[in-house]
Amino acid sequence: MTTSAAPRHARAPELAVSTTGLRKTYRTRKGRRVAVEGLDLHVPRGGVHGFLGPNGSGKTTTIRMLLGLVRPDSGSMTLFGKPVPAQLPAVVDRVGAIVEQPKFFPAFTARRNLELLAAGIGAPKQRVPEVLAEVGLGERGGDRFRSYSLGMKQRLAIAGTLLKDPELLIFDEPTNGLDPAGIHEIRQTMRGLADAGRTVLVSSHILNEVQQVADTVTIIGRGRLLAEGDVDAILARGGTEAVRVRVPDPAAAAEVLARVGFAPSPGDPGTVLVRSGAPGVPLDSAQVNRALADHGIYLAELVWQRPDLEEVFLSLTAEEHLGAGAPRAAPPAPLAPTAPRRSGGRS
Amino acid sequence: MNDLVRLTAAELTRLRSRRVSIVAAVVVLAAVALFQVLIHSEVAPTAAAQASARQAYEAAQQTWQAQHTQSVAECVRQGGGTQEECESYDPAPTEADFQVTPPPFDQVGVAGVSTATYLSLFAAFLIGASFIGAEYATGSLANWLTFVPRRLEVFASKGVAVLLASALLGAVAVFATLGLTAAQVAGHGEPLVRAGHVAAAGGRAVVMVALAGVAGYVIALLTRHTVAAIAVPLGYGLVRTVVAGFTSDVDAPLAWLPPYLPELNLQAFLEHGVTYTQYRSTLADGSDYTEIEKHVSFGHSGLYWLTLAVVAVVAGALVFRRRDVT
Repeated sequence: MTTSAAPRHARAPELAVSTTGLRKTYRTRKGRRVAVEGLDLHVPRGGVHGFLGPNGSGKTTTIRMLLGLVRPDSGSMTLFGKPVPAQLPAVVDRVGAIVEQPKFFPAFTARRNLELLAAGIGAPKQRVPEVLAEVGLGERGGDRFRSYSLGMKQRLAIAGTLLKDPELLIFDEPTNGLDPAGIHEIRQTMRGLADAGRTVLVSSHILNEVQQVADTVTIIGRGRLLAEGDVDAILARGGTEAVRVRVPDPAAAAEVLARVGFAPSPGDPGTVLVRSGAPGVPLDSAQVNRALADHGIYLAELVWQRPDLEEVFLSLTAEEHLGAGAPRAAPPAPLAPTAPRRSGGRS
Repeated sequence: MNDLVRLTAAELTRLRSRRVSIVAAVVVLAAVALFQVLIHSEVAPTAAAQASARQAYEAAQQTWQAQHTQSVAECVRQGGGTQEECESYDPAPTEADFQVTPPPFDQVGVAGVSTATYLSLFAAFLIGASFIGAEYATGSLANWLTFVPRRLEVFASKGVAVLLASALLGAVAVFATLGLTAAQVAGHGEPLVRAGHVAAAGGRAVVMVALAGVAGYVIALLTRHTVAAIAVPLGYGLVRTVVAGFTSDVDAPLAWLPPYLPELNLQAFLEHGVTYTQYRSTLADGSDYTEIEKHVSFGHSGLYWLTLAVVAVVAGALVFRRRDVT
């Protein structure tokens, strides 16, 4: 987890999105249900920021509050340093968003839907065929929205957000209901938008999927912040990487590996889990293989085991699952600006 | 202001493309055409029809003359009323009753305005209600607000679009009816009697149709559902039927209510004032009563609708501004 060393006022311009103490409750028949509780969110400018959490954790509610669709009970929010919703009209042209399923008028064609949006925001009409072509719907623009597949609807929604050529794009569960090809396409689209200099905030309950594209993440559970920071730093919280080796004599293999400086531990029957023996020193699977071979022990299988966001999330929420009375961990320190993980992103 | 104009233009574009708008307009115009067909025989009766009507009138006149005196005497003898009252129960037949001559323009014109108005009222209410109801149902309102977050501007642009579209629908329906009716009447050599009075009634009708559209819009915005919005006037009709018994008697608990009921004020606005009747029992068992005529003026109805419109629009704006949209 990255820690913040810079003063807060110096960090603010670097944040595309920030919330402080955000809270939202809903009235139900059984009383009030807390959707978001004291959330501090920090989304740095540039790159893809994953906003992760299980279903019902408050992601969509948070996004709706940022966009002025839902009124928070308390707390503050900013977009590009401007308080929202008070100054949302001043920054809305810099923000494009898709909240949950894409929602257009079913009886109108895709082109007509976008033309209405363009007319509403004062965008030139010629942007419509441009953005349709950009998302690969140029030839299907004359078809009614209701005839579109789910993937096409998502692409049309993205086209809508691009009408304004925004700096910040917010995608709420963009891959819901898509097939693997559609998911891959959305991931590529998000990455491409970030590499072009935009900030992409994507919320999802499918942690491993976002891990593939995000540079930084915020993980929430039950409306509360659990962790935030650079993806690699978050993954490091889930433990160190290891290799699992399948050998004829696991005990002998473990003894050999320990002698040469690795940290072996028992795995599944017939296997040994091997970690780096020196903190901070990366594990080299070739050295593991060589060490065992030099002692006449030959591998039947070698598999890398790296921590993923799902494991990190489960470990973070383990206390939550034990009961409501469990002591709450101190909130993590806010994010410091960080360069995107992948090449081509903004610094 | 430029933003509001632009938003309103976008809303009007959407409104005129909606299937409900097109169907409602077609139905209203079809009714206008049907009305012209129906009144054609009245406005321009054939010679044979006129001769037949005159024959029927003369036969009725003869029957009346033969039986009137005896009928009045019988009425007085059985305690039906005084001589004058019994005579008023059996008036002499007139040529107008048998349409021996074409009805005057103001009579058929006002009938046409009334027909066009009530159809247009319903159509405008439906257009206004479904316009915003569909946005809630599809979720596209939330999508729109992510692009245009100024709630009051959005509310105003949609309301103005509905107002203009409803006024246009009402104007086309009413003045097409009047124009075609006038053409038929004048085409058969009859004068356009009290044309100004009829045109003024048409103008008032357009105002009411425009308000009906806005009413549908505001009610659907508050209920967030087209069908729920339509259920409001239907439910009112049911309640009104029940309440009628408590308003017709001048001594009833709700006798003060009629001047504040929408249907009476609608009639008063359209007809430039209306008279209604309440009753007072003169016998303990209620078997006899006197009629008391009361009046709702055009000014009262105008103020009524203005107040209602302002309250509805302000309430709608406040609710829309604060309500969560998901």
